Amino acid sequence: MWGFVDCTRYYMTGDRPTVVLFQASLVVNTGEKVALLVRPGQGKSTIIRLLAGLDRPDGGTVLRDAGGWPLGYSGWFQADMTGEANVRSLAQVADVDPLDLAAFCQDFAELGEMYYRPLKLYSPTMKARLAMAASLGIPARTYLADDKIATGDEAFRRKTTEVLTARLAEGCGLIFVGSNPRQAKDVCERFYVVSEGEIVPCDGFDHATELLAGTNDPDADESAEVPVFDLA
Amino acid sequence: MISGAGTVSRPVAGESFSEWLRVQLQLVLALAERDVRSRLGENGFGFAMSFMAPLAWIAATYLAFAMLGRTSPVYTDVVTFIISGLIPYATFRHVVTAVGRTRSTVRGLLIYPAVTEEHAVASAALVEVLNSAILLGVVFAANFLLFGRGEMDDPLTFLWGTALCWALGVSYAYAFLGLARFNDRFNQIGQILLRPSFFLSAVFFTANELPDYLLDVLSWNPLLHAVEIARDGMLLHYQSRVASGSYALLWIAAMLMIGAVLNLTRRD
Repeated sequence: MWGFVDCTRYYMTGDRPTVVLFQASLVVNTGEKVALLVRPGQGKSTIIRLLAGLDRPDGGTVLRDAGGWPLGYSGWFQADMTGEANVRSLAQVADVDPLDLAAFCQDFAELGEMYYRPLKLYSPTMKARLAMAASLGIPARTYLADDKIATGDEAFRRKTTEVLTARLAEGCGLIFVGSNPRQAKDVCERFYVVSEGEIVPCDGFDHATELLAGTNDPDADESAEVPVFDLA
Repeated sequence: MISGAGTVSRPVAGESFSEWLRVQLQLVLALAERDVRSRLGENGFGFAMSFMAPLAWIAATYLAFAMLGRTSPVYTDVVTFIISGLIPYATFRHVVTAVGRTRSTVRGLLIYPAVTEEHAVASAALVEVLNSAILLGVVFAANFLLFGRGEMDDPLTFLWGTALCWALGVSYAYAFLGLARFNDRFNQIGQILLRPSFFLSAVFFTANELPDYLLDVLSWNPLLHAVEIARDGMLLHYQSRVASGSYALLWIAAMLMIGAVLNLTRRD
């Protein structure tokens, strides 16, 4: 089970507190597909950090389940290691067969010979493809997505969405935290909007978009390739 | 840094102890491999450079001895005497640095559900074992090839003393990682406390030659005991009158306990 119970989290901006969550609650059962939409600048990274266990709330409890995995996150990758070596190393962390994961990524990421070259030679798009392939090759119980469900060109996005949808259909969960509801439209079942510290449940995608409207451009940030996962 | 007074539930993944242990070892080795590969870089030049600092220490101490007209207080040549103190000391300092920076190096990896700071600490400590072994080989080879010297009275005792230095470094850094959870200034305090350690840990003198009133004070320092054990093992004509492995072990256990209590209670 994931979520928040009476959770309060704020941070100081200068000498003024910025409230991200105020006694907010949300329960996501393992296997559910939920979008948590946050307006830009209103604490998306803080919420990701809370769910990832990197931050502690000022009050209340953050619920975290085993088997969560950051979708498309490339933080493990080392620039001096080849794509294949990075994937095999990541397999150790996920406790999956390195050969299986390496083979899956080689096929899925479609990097050709570059798969066997150091990551420092990769473009951001290639790195994003490899990171997405590695995520989807790992049998997570719940994916944690930071504003990105799919990356790359149209064909790769379509392929990513197809595989992710298949994973979700097999019972894998998804928690999407972001400011762009379109990314989550086809893969999430429940939508929430974080507003003035509250987690407001929405009737569906359109309702969620309405709540965000006026302060948020649904097409914003489409150009960024790599999920940010701002963990600093 | 984790902050706030609320709680984060700990994910539970039900598994047997042996399975848990296998996964932990796998994680530590994966982190260590990643660390070594990143240090090696494309041609290993950066990795080789990391051994230049201890060699420079040895050269600088040799020059200081020459300028001050100091000779080896033990029946051996000056370089071998310096090596007998500096290798264990360098092991201590390197592991303190490596473990001390794990919080920043592992920050971006903690989002992976299996990775914790303890894995990063264990991995950094493990990599430093490898580095110390390489350093030992490089320095011994240099001493033999350049000066035709080399001494090793009791390799096991030398390794025991060096291992104690390593463990003191790990436990010291881990305790200060724990203290820094409460206030970042403890990072600086930990570094400041280390500064005089080079001069107080029998690196370029022996405990045997100290007057009793000074030895009574300096023998509180567990690193002095560990360095003395290593020197005792290396030099043919030296037997320390103060070195106590159990005293150093007591400090190691105490600092590890402090680190564990502070690190684990302040998390999740």
